[in-house]
Amino acid sequence: MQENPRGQLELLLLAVLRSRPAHGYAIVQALSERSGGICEFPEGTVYPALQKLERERLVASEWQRDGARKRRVYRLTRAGIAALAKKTENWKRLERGVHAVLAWQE
Amino acid sequence: MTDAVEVYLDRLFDLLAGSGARGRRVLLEAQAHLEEAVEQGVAAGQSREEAERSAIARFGSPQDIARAHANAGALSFAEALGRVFAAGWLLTAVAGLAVGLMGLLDMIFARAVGPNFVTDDPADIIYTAERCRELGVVNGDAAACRAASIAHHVDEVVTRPLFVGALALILLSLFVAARRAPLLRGLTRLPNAAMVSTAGAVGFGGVGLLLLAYGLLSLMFGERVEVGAHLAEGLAGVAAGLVFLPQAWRQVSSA
Repeated sequence: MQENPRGQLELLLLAVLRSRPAHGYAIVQALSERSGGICEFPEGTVYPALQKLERERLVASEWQRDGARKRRVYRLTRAGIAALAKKTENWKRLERGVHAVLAWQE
Repeated sequence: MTDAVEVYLDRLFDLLAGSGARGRRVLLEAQAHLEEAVEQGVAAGQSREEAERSAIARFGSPQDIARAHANAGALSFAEALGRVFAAGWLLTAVAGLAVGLMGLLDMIFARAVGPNFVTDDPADIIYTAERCRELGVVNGDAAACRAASIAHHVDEVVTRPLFVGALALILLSLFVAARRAPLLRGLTRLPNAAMVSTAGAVGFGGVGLLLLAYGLLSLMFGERVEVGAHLAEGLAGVAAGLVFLPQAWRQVSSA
């Protein structure tokens, strides 16, 4: 397990996209807002991570024009929804394990 | 968009060079992201310069993005194997064409200068009557046998390489055709343009130059026997290296 949220970036990206399709900037904003600023990482690293998720067919994307700006909008696929459920379960199990170990200190 | 973001994107572009469509997409998304971040910063009361500095700082260094891009692009075993296969396919085709060119040059040298210029038998060879008959010389003397033997060797150093060259041309045509066919394009995806082109330019070109230098030095020292073969090998190697040189130069000089 990594303390750095970058280690869980894929899980976080899938979780944000679960609610609605979004472009990279909106995803970064949502991550920052939902985590209360805890999940901070170089914003640009979400793009390679999103491409990786797309290669694994967990997200799909398409260019959309918003005024003069062209943006890539990502959405979760069916496989992405299943992967999110699995990754969430794994994370919760890990979290329980860590809590249990830390509880021995008290 | 002003200078700081432009400079940042130029640097990112340099670091992503050679990464193809995936890299280009990251660059376009980076540009849209930074533009939006700067606009929001300005709307929140920052000066344009502050907004740019802040947007760039939050986005991460170009090295961070390029590293994340490289890590995210890590290939599966099958994909990696496919790219090695594609590189082997292309390099083998070019090598085969070089062999064909060598045969063609041997043929030209043999006709222009003489058969001994491209091939010869050792001076102390003894031609048996049976060997002479195999070479089609009946009741001939040793000189006739020797001439027939050299003509036979010329045929070997011309016909076989030309055959290899023809096969290589088919191999290369198949590669180009597969590259244009959507279903087969994946088979021709190369590992890395910089790596393949540099390996081709340095490998073929380097060996070609060495052989060419050897042939030219032999000529300078008055050697006339089999020198043409070295010149043909050298010229074919250099020609194959030149096929890759422009791409290698573009990749290396922009690194």
